[in-house]
Amino acid sequence: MRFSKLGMQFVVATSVMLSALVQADGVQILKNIDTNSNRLDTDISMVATMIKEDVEEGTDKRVVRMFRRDYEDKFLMLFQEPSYKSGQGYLRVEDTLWFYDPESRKFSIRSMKDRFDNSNARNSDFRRSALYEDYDVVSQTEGKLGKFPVYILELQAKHDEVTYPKQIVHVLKKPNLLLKAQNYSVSDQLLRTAYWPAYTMSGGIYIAKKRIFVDEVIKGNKTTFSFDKISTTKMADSTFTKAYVERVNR
Amino acid sequence: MNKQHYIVAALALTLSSGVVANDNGVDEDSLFGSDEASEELMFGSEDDVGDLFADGLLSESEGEEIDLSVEFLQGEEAYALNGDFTLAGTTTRNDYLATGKTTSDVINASGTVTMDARPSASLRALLKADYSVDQDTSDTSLREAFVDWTIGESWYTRTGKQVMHWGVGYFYSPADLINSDSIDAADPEADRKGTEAVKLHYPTGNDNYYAYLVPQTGSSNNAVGLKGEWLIDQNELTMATVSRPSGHNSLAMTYYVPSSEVDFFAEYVMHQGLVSSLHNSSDWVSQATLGASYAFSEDDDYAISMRAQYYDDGVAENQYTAVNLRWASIYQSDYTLSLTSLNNTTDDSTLNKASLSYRYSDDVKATFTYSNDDGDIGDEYSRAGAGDSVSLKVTFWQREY
Repeated sequence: MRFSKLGMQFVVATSVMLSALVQADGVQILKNIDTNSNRLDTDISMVATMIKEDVEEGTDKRVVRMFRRDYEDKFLMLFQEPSYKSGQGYLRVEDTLWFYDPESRKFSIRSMKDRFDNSNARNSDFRRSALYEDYDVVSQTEGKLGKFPVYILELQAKHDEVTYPKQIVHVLKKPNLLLKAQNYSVSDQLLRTAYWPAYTMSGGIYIAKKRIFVDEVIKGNKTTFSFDKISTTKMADSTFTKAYVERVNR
Repeated sequence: MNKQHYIVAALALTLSSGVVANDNGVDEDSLFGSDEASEELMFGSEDDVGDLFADGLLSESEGEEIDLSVEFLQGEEAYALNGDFTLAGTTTRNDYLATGKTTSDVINASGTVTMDARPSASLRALLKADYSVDQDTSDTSLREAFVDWTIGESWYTRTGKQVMHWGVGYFYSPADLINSDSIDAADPEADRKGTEAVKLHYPTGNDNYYAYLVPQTGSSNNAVGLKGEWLIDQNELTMATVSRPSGHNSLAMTYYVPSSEVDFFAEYVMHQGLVSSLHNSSDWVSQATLGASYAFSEDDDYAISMRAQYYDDGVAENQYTAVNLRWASIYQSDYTLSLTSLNNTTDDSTLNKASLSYRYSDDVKATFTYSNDDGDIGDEYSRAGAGDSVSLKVTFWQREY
């Protein structure tokens, strides 16, 4: 019994080593990341706890309800805590990002490139994965991130609607999942590093349970998102409307 | 353990790894593990590495398949009682041509009580009341009281006393044809009282369509309002019409152009019928306003916003200009400065106001305000004639519950 297990491991290891010699196509890897991360038959909802660490302002905590409909490229994020931000929300519909201020009861248009609530995350970080649509693969190597074998891809933006024109991403070899992304400016300055240190599987796709955004310009600034109550229950169409955002406010 | 897990395990066993170094303060080894002994203590040795689950990268779904959007809409409690309370003292010194020198010292307790009932995801009732008590007077008023009912997945109704969002003007909004409580140009961000109405809302993508019924005082008939909102290349266009039982009909168009720094807004309104005593009922009279808002922030030292607006009121035959400059958290301090100037260019009356506020804590805040009125007695911004007013308001206690 023991021999057969070891034998199987040897066979598997040998075949994997051989297959690793064949460099996977970078574009296919981007497609795989999108496929592994996006849910095209239902919705994704979760509760995010955001911890913002700022060298000058200290540490801040936010709780945000997040709803995503990947097949229509929509999302809704509503602040739950602290109380003074409760009811504020971001709604992305038809390529437009609306911000709702419950004090004035007005919606205003925001950019996907803007910082999310003045943190190290950008609004675009919460959209469905669209690496294949947005980036070309410039170079591809292999390496390790900790104990995980990864592909290291240098990506160049196909258009100027993305937040970062250049990224270097570390992608888990199997399944293809983002583990780390270094985000660069047009002038090739490293602005931010993002990490995905934990995932959960739900309905055949992988959903990040934790994301960390590290400011590379102001050292010490960092924002961590932890995601709980992850659900893939299909929500009503009305969830992704201004009417829902207005009604949810107390 | 499935095939995928064996593959990853085999990779971990056969490929050598290096220590991940990074100077951004994040220990990548602590996130993703390494071959180092310390990481082995934290994440287990390579012998234990069997799959991504064992490595901590992947975890099983929690299995909480609930509709969070419904849960959030209904809240943790079906019935909630909230509110806020403020205790403040204000001392004021006035000196105007018509009234002479006057003073007032007021200790005031005020706040809001909100009752919110959400028995189901499609039904909600909200009541919001204001109260204010000082040594001389007391006052309570109902700001809003309405019932929301969702019909199917697409139609939203709101019935009762409510503040409706019409118009894009900051100081003046002639396109706000439907609210009975108009914007106060001297305090444009103040809460407004609701208007009794029935609203039907049909959203579709970024476009929204509304129908309103507003009971008219002294009439058994309702004013009827229709409004559509469209997004045109990131610019917001609104067209609206209101027909009143008195025969006064209005058409309005608003346009809002946002950009990264300066936003522009415009309203154009046409009235026909019994608009005012200044016009024949057959005349079409118009109102138009144009404005801009600018926001600038840098290094948290400068959080500056500016708003300017011009308004041609063809109904009252007045023209106005308004400007506001606000510098919040001056040089990251707890001070905020606000400068406002309102001018009726037709009667040539002006209100200039400067306020400096200092927030000591969440509870304690002090605001010093100086205002100067210029113009003849009875004019729009100089009702009591030319003069000055100085006030100091200290908020001692401010709580939400």
